[in-house]
Amino acid sequence: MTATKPSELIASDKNQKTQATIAVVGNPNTGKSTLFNLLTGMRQKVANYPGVTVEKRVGELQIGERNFQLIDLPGTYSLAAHSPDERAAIDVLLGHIADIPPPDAVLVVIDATNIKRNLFVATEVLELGIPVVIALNMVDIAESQHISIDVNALAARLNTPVIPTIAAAKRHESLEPLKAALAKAVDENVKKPWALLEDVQQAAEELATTINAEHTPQESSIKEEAVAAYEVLRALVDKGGEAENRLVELFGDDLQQRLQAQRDLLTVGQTLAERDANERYAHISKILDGVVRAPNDGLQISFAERVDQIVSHPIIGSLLFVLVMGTVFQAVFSWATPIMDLIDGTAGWVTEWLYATLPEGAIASLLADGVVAGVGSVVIFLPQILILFAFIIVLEDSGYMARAAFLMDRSMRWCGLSGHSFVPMLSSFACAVPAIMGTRVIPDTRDRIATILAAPFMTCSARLPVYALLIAAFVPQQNYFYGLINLQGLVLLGLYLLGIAGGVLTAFLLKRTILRGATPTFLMELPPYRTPNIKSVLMRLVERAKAFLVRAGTVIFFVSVVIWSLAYFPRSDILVTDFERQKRAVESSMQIEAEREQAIAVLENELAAAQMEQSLLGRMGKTIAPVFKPLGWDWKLSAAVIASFPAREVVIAVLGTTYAVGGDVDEDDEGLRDRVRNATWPDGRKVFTPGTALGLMVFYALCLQCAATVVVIYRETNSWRWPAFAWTYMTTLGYLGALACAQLG
Amino acid sequence: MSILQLAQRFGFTLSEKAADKACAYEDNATLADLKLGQPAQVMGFQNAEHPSAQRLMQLGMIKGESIELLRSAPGGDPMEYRVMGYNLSLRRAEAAEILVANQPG
Repeated sequence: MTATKPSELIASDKNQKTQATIAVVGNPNTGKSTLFNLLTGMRQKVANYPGVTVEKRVGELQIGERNFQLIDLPGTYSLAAHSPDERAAIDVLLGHIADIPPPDAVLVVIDATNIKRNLFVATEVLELGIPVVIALNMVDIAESQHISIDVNALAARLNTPVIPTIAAAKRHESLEPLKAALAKAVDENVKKPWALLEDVQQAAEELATTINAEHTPQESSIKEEAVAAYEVLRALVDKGGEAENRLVELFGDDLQQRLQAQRDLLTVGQTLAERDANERYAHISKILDGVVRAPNDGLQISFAERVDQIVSHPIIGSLLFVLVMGTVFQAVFSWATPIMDLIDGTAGWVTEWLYATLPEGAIASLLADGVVAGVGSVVIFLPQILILFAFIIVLEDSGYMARAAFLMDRSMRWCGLSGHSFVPMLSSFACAVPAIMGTRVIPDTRDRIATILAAPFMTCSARLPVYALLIAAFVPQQNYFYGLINLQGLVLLGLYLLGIAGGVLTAFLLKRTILRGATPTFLMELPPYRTPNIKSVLMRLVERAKAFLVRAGTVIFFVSVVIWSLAYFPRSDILVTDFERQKRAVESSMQIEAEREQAIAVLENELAAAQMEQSLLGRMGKTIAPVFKPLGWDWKLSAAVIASFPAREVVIAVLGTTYAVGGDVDEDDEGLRDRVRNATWPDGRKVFTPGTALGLMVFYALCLQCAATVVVIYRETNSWRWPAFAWTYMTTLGYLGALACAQLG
Repeated sequence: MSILQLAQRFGFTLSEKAADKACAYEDNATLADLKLGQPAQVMGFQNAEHPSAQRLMQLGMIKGESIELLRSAPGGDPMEYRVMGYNLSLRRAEAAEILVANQPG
């Protein structure tokens, strides 16, 4: 293999132009992702960059008959990278990512209402020497703020095409000029070398040439392509940054000294980073002089400011925040309920229909109790997840999310997190899945992982049925203070608080141990309020729903089928023959039809319980029972807990089967409640002492019995390490909590 | 205490012109010392090698750039500033890294 550049490979391809790659760069809050969505439509693929938690979004752009590969880079204010996550942008631009060829052109999206800061990263991209097209986005908003921009003069001074676009591009033809400019940039492929700091550029080129001469590709095992001068330039300017780290990793500590030697030569009075920023902004000011005319910070501020006076006000803003989040929760629970009931009803109907239509046996049971129940357990949470997500996306796109982070920052700080973590943590009270997906707003990787690991502790809607059953069965209906305080309610509150304490302490401990690091900064732009683009919101919603159904759905489905087989096999024929004999006896002895049917139902449930006892699951429950013995759990409870690892609410159905009241029970079932309450050990002692019962609730409060959450943690952290850690850690905590309750109770 | 002061105490900036312009910033004042309605100009960093210094400069904390405190969150931290035509939030500790001086004129 010679040192062939991927771009050369493409050039030799017959359909070369269909393969062209365009990277999309820009500040956060410029409408970059919306523009990307409008350009590519649904032809998108989302994955992660290797080793980091940053999302890699690749789409297909069709211009005429040709297809371009469009890559949406994470929003960034600069190409300087000081953390592995920030490196993704420069890695793509320099062609360091294995499956992405070096881009043939770059689309830089800048916000017309804030050109100065937006041009910082744009001018950095211009230094790469790749053809650039600038989309001057939100010109409609700039116009409404009486900002006038001489687009032609701007393009001439930047020496690159500048295409005005509008934020809410409703008609597709408004994107045609942009598409044409992109196609032209790729076709003409004109390189326009330009450097802001010419001495630094020259030093970088020389150093790159030296490195490349010293290390031929054959020698260096990792790299096949030459070191780019721009990467050396970044290493020089961003002292201690990722470019330096990568080069030193590849070429040894010796290079670090050479970089420092160059820096010392080039540094006069101020660091290279200072020079770069100062001279770049000076250059930008010169470019903008006479090109952009804004009414001296007038009109637009007064409106945004008036809104912010209320929204970000310490007292009114906090109340408003409570109101907004209250509305979100109200919507999640009340709007989702009818749809969830509908899904539940449909699943029940399908189950009945399957049992009625198919011959009794393994197939019917697999389809009904394995497949339908498994798929149902995934789909049932979809309404809540989607509603929560729609709110989160709208809050993000409107600019409110940043205000919420601003208001909550101080209260989150004492457990080591920042205001960014607040909304994800709060969302977790409905469901951990969208909460964990929502942690993408957290810029600091360590904060983000700490939040991901803390979120599943919050009492989600799937824990409620389990609590409802156990509280109704074991906590007496006692009132204190003339009925104002109810013991059952108190226990429920205690479980909520336990979840909060578990999450907060987890974040606190993680941030002081394995996720320790420099205090992350809270440099956050409070973007102007904007109306979210409905099409873009819907596209992201569909994408997340799809991701959830495909990723979590397949795993949960698989696990459900496994648990079903464990509970179903092996079948005992002796038990069935026994059942048939007793059934005949009942049929012949009982005259009244109602009584007879009831007796048969009891026999059926007892058969199911007996089958369960000698099934693999039952045997596993018995084998593992010694482990749970200190918690005061018998084999039935142990088996039910095992079966509920994919989804905690499943425990109710399994308890229903093992305690012979049938599998189609819910948490309000009197029979199950009584059976559980009266369950005994072989020697006649009650299984559920107050300590055991409380211990079981504590177990469900703390452990991670949710395959969907496990899979989403995997997807969001891009490694199995964190879900494995979360599962082990939470299960251990749950066990210890239950143990403490059983021993003290 | 005037109504204006009372209002400011509860986080309202009623009018920039109404603020007392007589008070000037001291020599080594930082962004954390900024008062409502009293814009200043950025002078530089306590320590130019501070890990956030480069990021802050890229975000517009450039010598001579004018900056204004808009409000602070409950508890007085973090703070919201207006710089280079947009709003930026900083924690008090980060703000204390940036030196400021009175605006010229």
